[in-house]
Amino acid sequence: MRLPFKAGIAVMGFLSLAATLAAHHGTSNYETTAKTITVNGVVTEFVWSNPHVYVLFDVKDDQGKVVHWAGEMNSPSVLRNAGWSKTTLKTGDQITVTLRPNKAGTPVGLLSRANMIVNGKPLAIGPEQ
Amino acid sequence: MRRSTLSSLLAAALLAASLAWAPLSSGQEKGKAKGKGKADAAPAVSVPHDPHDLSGVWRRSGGVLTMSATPPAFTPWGKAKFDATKPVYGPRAVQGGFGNDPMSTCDPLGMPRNLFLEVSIYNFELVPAANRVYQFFEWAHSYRIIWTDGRPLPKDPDPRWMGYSVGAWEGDTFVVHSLGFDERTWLDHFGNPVSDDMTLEERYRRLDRDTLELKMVINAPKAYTQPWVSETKTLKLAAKPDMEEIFCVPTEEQRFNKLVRDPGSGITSKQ
Repeated sequence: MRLPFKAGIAVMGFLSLAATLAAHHGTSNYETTAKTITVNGVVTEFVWSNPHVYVLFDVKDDQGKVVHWAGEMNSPSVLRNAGWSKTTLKTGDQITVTLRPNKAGTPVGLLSRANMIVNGKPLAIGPEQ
Repeated sequence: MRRSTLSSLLAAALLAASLAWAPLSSGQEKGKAKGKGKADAAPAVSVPHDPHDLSGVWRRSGGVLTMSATPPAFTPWGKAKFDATKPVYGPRAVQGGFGNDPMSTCDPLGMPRNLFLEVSIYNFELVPAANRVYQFFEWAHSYRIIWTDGRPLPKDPDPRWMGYSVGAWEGDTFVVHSLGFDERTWLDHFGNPVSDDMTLEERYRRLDRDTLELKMVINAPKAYTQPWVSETKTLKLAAKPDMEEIFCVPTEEQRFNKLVRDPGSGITSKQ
């Protein structure tokens, strides 16, 4: 599925603050340019596993069509140091996240270190490695 | 009153002395770092150490994530093996879903790749025991045994992910010789080859309580035209002695690849 860059998705031109993950699979999927996007959605699953934590969430485009997103995050140990746990996000949470988009234009991104907004409240994602 | 003051001073002096001579494990716990990475800096104060005691949890401190910046020239066999790799790091990096790094399917990293500690937040621990030294790798929750009982290396062994290793002290340097490697591994995440004729020499030296130096040489005439001498690797004692349970779980990895890595590479057909 190609990413529909429509309403509800704001393309941000500022320098990416994306975390440098210690990802064992690399971050070659993602843009390295100074480009991030911000999306609003509803959590469908929060996967707390090593070495990847990731969040699956649904985003509605401007026509009301639901797009299934995935956001890759840092490892549990790094997130734990930032105060996270396996229950920090729950199914149904309303989130606003800033991501580095991938080069293929699909709805998968690397969550930046910028704050996530969860149910209206900011939540720090944690430091860079 | 004076006696009380004197007692307090004496107690403080004893406490200071006990901290200065605290054992290695206390030194690691003293850092009180909550986690790893930058927060995991080892204590700055140098204290007496036993250069023949390598025990501790060690973290990478800088350096390249391979032997040295430039490998020796490949043999034709080595070149063909290198060309068949599709790394997701370095100048030949492809998007994650198109890579074929064995790590992305949770295959063992093998040696010397484990020693590079390429996932920077994960460490290794050296645990001397009777007639052997255990080396535990936090990544993939794996370990190897370095035999120190004087046994010779096996001749014509079956290949193993970690190979076969023997170690002995040469002065203050712990020297490990290994062979019998499985050439399905990659030498590093850039895709440099491992051959089944490879031998590995590791030379560990504890420079002070908090610093471990590691130099390596591989000889793999099937893959490289010359020995590959490593840069000098520096490892620092981790402030936090805990090693987490970082298994690479194939089912979790498959699901991650299906939901995140592959679609992030534009691959939607894989199930």
